[in-house]
Amino acid sequence: MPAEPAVTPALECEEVTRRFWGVEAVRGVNLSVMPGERRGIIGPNGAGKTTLFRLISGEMPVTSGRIRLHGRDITRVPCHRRTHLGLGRTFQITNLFPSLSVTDNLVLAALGLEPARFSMLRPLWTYRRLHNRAEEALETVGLADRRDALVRNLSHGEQRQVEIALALLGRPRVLLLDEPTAGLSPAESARMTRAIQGLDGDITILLIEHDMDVVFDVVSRITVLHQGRLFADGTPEEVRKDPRVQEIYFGGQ
Amino acid sequence: MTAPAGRRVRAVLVLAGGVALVLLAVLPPSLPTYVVIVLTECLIYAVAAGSLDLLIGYTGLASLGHAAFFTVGAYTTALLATRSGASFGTALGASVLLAAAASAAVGLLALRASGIYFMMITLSVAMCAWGLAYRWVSLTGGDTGIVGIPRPRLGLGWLAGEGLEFYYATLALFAGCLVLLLLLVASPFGRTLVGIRDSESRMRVLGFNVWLHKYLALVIAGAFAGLAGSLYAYYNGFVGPNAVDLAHSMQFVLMVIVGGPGTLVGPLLGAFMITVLEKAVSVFTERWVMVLAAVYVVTALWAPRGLLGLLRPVRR
Repeated sequence: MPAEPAVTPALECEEVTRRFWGVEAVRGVNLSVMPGERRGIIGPNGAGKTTLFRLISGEMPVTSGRIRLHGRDITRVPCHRRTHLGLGRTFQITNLFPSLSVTDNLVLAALGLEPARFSMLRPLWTYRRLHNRAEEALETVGLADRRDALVRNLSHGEQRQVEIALALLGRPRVLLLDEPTAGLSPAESARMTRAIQGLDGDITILLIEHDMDVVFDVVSRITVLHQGRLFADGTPEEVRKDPRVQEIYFGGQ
Repeated sequence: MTAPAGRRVRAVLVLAGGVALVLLAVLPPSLPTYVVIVLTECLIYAVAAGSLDLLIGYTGLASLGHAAFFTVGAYTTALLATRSGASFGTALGASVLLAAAASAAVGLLALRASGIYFMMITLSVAMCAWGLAYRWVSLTGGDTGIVGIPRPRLGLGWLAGEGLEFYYATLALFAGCLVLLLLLVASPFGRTLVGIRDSESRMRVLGFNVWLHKYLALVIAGAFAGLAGSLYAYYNGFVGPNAVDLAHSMQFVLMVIVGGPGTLVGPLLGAFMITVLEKAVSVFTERWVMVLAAVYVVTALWAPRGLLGLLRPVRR
């Protein structure tokens, strides 16, 4: 058997735990995701999926455990620094800048990694590079004809597209997608699935999703969480056939 | 990057603002002295209200403590001008720096909270400023305040006569502040403040140090308030605790709300409107605060986005 080259996982969670007033929302989760891997995270409501994302992104501190990004310990690194280290995230409940236009949302996202974010005396519209990047993102998500619309006036489907576009402008190497198809129609959902499949293969993706068609289309491995614990782990086929998973997750179907 | 209707409104606003500035520069020599005095006060409060809009309208930080930094500026200038005979520039610079420093210290505390708790902390800071002004008699003169602050000698008498010298100094500083504030809200940093107002959690995930941006906004706004306070001390010739009480703090907030938060120009208009209204109403009645409350209720009911909000077209 040839020696496997030692590849550093893109993301590692080691015994990650989060306790809220004595309730353990995430308990001792171990997770290792390889660069370029597409990993599905599934589990019934309240399984701790979104909490796990919040711990990985740094929006919430872990109670105990370690998180490593490309081998670097980021457990104590604040949320905004993790973005600079290559972590991106979208939200299950659309989280945009509703009072700004689509273009301005994208420009602001592109600004996140630029030192110019502290520039105070030069108008933002003179930063051509930021606007070019926003324009590219606009074309990519197919919202070019809505560029001047205020985000609050977009349809839900369009907002979900902006949601992804904002995360991509941060040039993430590891991207956490929290139910990207939440609330979308079957047609929109299919388009979103194609968009995720079309993302750069170098980006490592963790995908929380309730829509099993989307999960099985996109990911190569699935991690099942149940009551905050890692419950099962395997290829989509293995997980689909696992009777214990069927019990807790597909039980009703 | 705005829709055509928005662009037209903006063009009209820029034109109106330019005309207003020209009138403010040209008319005063032919106006009665009292009117010039009121205009000076309007300009001073406009600087305070405009900088407060950075916090309330742009960043979404409802600070009730802006008067505290105005106070720091006013007392710094009063002390320097009466006790050490400092020049205009020195007093002004020291007031700005001390107000910014006070704001930086308060920010460390206030930014630990958000929403209603941030309001309560900043409110208590304003109360503390008033308490210090009232009780720290050896420094502030207590209830008597500091009297006899001389008008600065600027050597501008040739311009428009001695009486107008201070008015033009104030107008020049106002114009300078206006340019700086306009640049700030149009800058990348200004846009990050709007992003923080709309969604802090998203800003964090996009790589922005939200705390630092809010902190810088607080310090900058505090510096402008200190400048306004310094001008106020010279303008009034007297600084006492009544100039910095709670009603004063609320008045700044109302100027922003009546004018239209998040528009910068609106709060400047609000400052003019409320200052002029106060002078006009005071001729007829002592119950100015009641009238002010009525103005606020009318704004809240019929123009919740303020005067300028009425002009803003609905965008689709």
